[in-house]
Amino acid sequence: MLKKLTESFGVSGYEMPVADIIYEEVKKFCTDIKFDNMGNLKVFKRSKTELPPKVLLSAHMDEVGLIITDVTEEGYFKFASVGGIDPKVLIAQRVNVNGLKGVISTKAVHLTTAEERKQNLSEDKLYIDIGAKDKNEAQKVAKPGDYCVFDSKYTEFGNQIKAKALDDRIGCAIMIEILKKDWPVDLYCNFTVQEEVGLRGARVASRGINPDYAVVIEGTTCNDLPGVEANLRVTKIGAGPAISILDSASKGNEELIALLEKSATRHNIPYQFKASTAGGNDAGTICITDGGIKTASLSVPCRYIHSPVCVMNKSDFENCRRLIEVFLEDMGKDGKIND
Amino acid sequence: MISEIYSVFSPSGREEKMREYIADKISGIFDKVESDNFGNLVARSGNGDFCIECSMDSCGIMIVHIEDGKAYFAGVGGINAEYLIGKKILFCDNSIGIVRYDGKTPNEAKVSDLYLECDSSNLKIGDFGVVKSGYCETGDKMFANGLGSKIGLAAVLETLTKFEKIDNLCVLFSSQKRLGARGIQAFLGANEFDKIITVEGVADKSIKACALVVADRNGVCNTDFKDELEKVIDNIAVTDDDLCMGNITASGKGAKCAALGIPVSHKDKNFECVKKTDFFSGADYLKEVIENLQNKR
Repeated sequence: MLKKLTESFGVSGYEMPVADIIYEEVKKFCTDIKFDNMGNLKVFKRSKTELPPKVLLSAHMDEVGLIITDVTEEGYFKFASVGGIDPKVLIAQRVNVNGLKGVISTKAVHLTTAEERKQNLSEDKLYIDIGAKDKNEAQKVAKPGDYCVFDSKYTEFGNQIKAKALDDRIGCAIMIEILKKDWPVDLYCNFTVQEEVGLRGARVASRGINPDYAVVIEGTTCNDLPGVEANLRVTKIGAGPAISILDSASKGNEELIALLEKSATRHNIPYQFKASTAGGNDAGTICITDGGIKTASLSVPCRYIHSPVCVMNKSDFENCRRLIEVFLEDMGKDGKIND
Repeated sequence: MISEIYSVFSPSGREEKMREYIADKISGIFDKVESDNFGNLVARSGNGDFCIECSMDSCGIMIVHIEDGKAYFAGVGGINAEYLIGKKILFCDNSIGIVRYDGKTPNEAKVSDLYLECDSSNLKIGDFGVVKSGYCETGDKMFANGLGSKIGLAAVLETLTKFEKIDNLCVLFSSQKRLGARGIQAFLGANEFDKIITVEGVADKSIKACALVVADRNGVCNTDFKDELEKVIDNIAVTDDDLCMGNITASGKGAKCAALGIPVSHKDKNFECVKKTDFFSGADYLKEVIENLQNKR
């Protein structure tokens, strides 16, 4: 499922291809499924127990990508980023433009001036080449406003997976697995849109549910790389899912974090804390919804996030799924861990 | 009361001790005092459409990595690296650490370049701390690091404790204001008011005495609300500080918002200073606003 999800097309604002895959899968196990006006896919699975706690799980379907802004006379596409992409990672990448292959490039280094070489690379220096002979031919393929995604295949190597859009098809894949089973909680699963452009989908999707707890399942930054000092590494691949205490969008609810930690400890599931206050995700908008929802984020560490070659560890993914599962199992009637 | 408030541990997101302190102080004055899901403390009597807001939190730090006896940290709320160097950091369990910087250019330091020299066996990732400095006063002047973030709360408590009982008023003691007014946004998503006054410390470059602030960096006050308040507070000011007026105005179903600003000199620097006369005139203004509201009812 993760392969299918990551190879699908779902730039913020155009998530339907991903939503369709999820819909076709979850309808095999769930009957209460609906799309809201923004495109959020909301699934509800009622518990068979009496007076169950309500839990909301949330993962976003959208990915960072590009949007065409102009077509040059020579037949190249100018573009802007959708979501946060470092222009440095764009050079020499392959992209998918309405089903056709394209490559991103810029002026060769020997053609740049000394002044240009000192400047940081910006998007306006880049273009997409789809091999069109002129503007007229290029316009038959795409026009301003059309989206592009990285052209990157899902690949397994060692215990790792390389793919685009692991942020946050990881969360989508885990929620699909969770929805295959019955739980002792009333389970709301929101597959949200437009997280990468301002946490917008979750703002709408989480209203009116009033859950006891909400857990955002994510892919998060991981800088366990050469040259990065230990105190800046944020998370570590292979050390388990990361619980966020505080980031730029939200502070994890202490009560919920304690429950997640307790479940992990009881079931011998490794976990780590995200050692940074940078970044943010849908928890930022969920936690302030309807007078406040007790919210936390559980994330799978991803190296090279927001690039065509995100890398995650299979064990981290499995441990994230397991931790969500045991957390749901451990929830008692009153929303506390059953000791 | 100010030195007492100042000593309560309440970094953004970890305001539980402040919630307890406030709830104890105002017990009996309101029909109901309770915490919400987000961590705000809400005191309420009746179903009035008027709310007073002040924040419980202060900026601080959070431990993100511990290695070789050094505890590395991130800032919580807007906190400046150069300001932190050499400061004493206090944790919830009263353990302390001293902020160290091994570089040679403090003005270029980033928070990630700093670490705490401490007994790291007492600390773990995720622990919150605050800058600890002694409160002191001389004549009309009160001094403490971060005093400006607590002065609004102090003025509100000073006012409320003058009443035996208050009707038709809601007071929001908000959580995580220094992290983007999140507590306010959460609260107003589920509670509707016509008018809200926020009480805050404001840099004295914009106000020279306690003032009714009708516009801040992100928000403006509706003129009818301004006209109503101007009958009580004739000193009107505009500031480029962010007092969260915009967040308040646009949260939930929207509300008219003004701010009661108490001037703070040397804001965000060592030993911020507030004049007692400004503080007490702020509390007096607020008392009159509440009395008018009570009489109107």
